[in-house]
Amino acid sequence: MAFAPSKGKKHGGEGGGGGRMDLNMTSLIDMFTCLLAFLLKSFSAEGALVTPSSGLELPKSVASERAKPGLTVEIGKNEVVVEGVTVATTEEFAKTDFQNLLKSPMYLDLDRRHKSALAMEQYGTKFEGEVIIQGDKDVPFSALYKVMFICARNDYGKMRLIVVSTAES
Amino acid sequence: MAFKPSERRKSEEGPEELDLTPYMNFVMILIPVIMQASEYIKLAMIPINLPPAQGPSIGGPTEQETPEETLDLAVAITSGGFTITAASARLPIIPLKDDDYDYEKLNQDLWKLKQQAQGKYPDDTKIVIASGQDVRYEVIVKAMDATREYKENNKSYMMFPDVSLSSGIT
Repeated sequence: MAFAPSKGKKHGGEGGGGGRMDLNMTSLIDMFTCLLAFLLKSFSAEGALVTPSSGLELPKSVASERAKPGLTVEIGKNEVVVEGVTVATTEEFAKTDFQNLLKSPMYLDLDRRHKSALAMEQYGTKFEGEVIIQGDKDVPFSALYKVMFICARNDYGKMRLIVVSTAES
Repeated sequence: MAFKPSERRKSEEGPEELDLTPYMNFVMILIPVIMQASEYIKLAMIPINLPPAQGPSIGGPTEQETPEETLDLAVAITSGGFTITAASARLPIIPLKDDDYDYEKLNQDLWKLKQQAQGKYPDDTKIVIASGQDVRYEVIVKAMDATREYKENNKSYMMFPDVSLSSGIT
């Protein structure tokens, strides 16, 4: 059965097209208000000091101490990264013995960073020796321990493991 | 001279609409600012230490000095489960439960130990976690959680927050 054509357009056109139509902003404002409320809930006055690296699945913990920035070492499933620069593959790194670690690219990189940080001390920037380790939850302990070993050998003694906090605020 | 009465009221029809443009501008600026400072994933950090150096100090202890008795608490993580050692004594192994580590039992055993050791030893907040080479990082973090605090009746009690990692097991 064919329906009768709508008369809406006809009626609408009777005004001669000279009328100004206002945009209804109510729904948009409702949406923005909801979005604002949601964002304010997750707002942090200090901002995000440490950004989780993409591709890493950090382990969960009940720890609640707030993460502070520092020299970042990431131990991913495939590679070890220092401040965004890949220094080794995780598998190879976990197998390397401690003597050869002292000649590894990661050791040399941290050594260079340590020396430049010490050189900056004359300008008043104190070397704190802080390092934050972001490890994937599935990496073996041998890889973590070797990263800690290299950090300690280069005077980066204040080590912090970054985890996803499940502590109730 | 008398002025002609205003015709504004007469000519306007219907209620006056609120001008929402300034509010929209404000919200459009506020949203990116808040988005930048928002935390969608709450990150935390666990401070860790390297294990303390073993062996006698330079010169060795003199005869007058009696070495203070220490707890020397350690948890070994192996593929078979957890082993707690304290004050040179080894507790029975905590075996795997349903193919996973029994963190609850570790937590309870350490709480019993904490109650006994509280105030008796100078190192009653320290623990060394020694792990096997192939143990996953997640297991170590969960073991650290089990050693850090004990919860009972919505109250949490601090146990051994000073964690050192060691690779004593090869």
